[in-house]
Amino acid sequence: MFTRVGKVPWIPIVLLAPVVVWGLFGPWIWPHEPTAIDFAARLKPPVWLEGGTANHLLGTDQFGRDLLSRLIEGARVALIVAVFGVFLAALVGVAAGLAAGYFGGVTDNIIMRIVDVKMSVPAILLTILIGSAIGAGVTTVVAAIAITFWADYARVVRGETLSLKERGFVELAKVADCSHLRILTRHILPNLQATIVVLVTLQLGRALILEAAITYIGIGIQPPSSAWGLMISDGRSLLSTAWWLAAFPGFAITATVLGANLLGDWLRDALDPKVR
Amino acid sequence: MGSFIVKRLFLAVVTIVGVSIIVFVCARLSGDVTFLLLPTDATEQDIRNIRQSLGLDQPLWVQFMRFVAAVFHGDFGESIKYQVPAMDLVVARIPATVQLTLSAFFISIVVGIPLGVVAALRRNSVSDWTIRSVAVLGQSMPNFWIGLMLILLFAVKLQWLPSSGRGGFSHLILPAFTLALFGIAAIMRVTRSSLLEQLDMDYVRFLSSKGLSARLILWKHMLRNAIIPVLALCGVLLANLIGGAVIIEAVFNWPGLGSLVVESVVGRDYPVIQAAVILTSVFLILLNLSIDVAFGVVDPRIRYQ
Repeated sequence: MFTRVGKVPWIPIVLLAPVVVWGLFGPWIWPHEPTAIDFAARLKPPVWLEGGTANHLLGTDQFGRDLLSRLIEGARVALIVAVFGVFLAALVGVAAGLAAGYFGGVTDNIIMRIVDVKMSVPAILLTILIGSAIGAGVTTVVAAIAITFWADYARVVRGETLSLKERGFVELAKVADCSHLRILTRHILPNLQATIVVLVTLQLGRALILEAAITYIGIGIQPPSSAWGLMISDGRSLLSTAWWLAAFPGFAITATVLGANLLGDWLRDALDPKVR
Repeated sequence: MGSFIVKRLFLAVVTIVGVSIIVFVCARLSGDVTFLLLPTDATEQDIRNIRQSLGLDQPLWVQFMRFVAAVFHGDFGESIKYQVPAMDLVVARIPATVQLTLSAFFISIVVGIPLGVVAALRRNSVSDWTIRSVAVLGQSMPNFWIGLMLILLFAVKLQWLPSSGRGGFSHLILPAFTLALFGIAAIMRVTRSSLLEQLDMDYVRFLSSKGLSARLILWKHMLRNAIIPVLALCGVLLANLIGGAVIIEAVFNWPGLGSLVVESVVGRDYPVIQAAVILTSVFLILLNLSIDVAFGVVDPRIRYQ
């Protein structure tokens, strides 16, 4: 939609660039140490409001920690966790989808029944179940993201594999006595590249939202880390006195997710000749 | 038709068994409960006794069969925090969640369908572009954060609406609307694309050359066809709303199933979480089953897929 404006996806690039730069170069660019406590500068509002200082562009929290610096540190946490989770989901989901689509029969039945089970428990309840079983923390978030999203890959990849395996080049590979593994990895998987890349991009955004939500209810990333979801939940009790504490992390999440979604849409249009 | 229903019913049972396996495995992963129940100076004999009384000395599959049997009797054990049956706690919270979810469902349909129709009929106009952009933006925001921002605006700044809790109608507005945002965007998108498909159909051109008014074609013919994908989405939507309600209830302190579950995680009240997860899943599985069967009755093609 927005992305048909030109060939280069400027909007997603502009939205995602800060997060990537923050995540990669955080320690070199944050104006303050994110954990540095300064009681003299408690609850300072952003610079453009009355009482704000240029020293703390987005203001400070109840401990005098600089909000911008914490947002920058949060970008790192957000990126690492979301990328790991989605990568794990893709790994499991693609393998399951390939197996289900290619071998069919009993394999297909078992995998698709597991997908059904996954689909009938809301993601957040499944996450809570895992969180209560293995405790809160980064592992829980990564596991939750992987468990929530793998089934999407499995379904899409299974569908495409079903049609790919009827194609001539797969038949020929079989005639040439290729092993199943070789057919799957050398002949079918490369044809799924575009689909998987688009899905990964779109799910990065959804994973980021899930991560923030899990952290918000207390079973995700734990303090003193500056995860965005954690910052929002810290800001909730100060909503009436220091609205910026809950507001800005939300803007950061929104910008990143929007960027990922638009990039995904653009990739789908760019990679799929049918749409073009 | 009969065999179609039997097949779907069988799949539903398999899915329910699968869910119980997951819950059972998670319960085992959560560690040895005996340490929660015993004083720190308990002897070896004490530990053995309590393991025996809880059946933890039995083989795993025996334990699982006992678990399933207990679940079918609605017995999920006692809440560790409140010392009452977990099932009772969960059941007491259901009305609040149903009220919230159904309100959000209603709002999604009442707002989403007209927006979708407008966007489709004025394709590529300013209103279409605005509606779609807001939907894309809305789907990129964490809904719990939108909830907080609405609290900030309507409860803290303007003081028009209460910020949390359950009471009169005014308490319902913010949480229901926040929860509905996702649904509005989803329904709008499907309505728009499904109606756009109808616009290109031959029968529309035929009716229009026959002299029927555009309004009659839209309301009497196109919407009837376009609504089928929207109805198909409703089951998925309801499931999503039930999941989304967990977080929204926590944000607005809405005393439903979701806030109970979130409290229970913090207190590691495992029996309550089990009961809530299994009841919700069974409800969703039965919901999907009835939707499948209903569609099978309405549209015979589905039966043979």
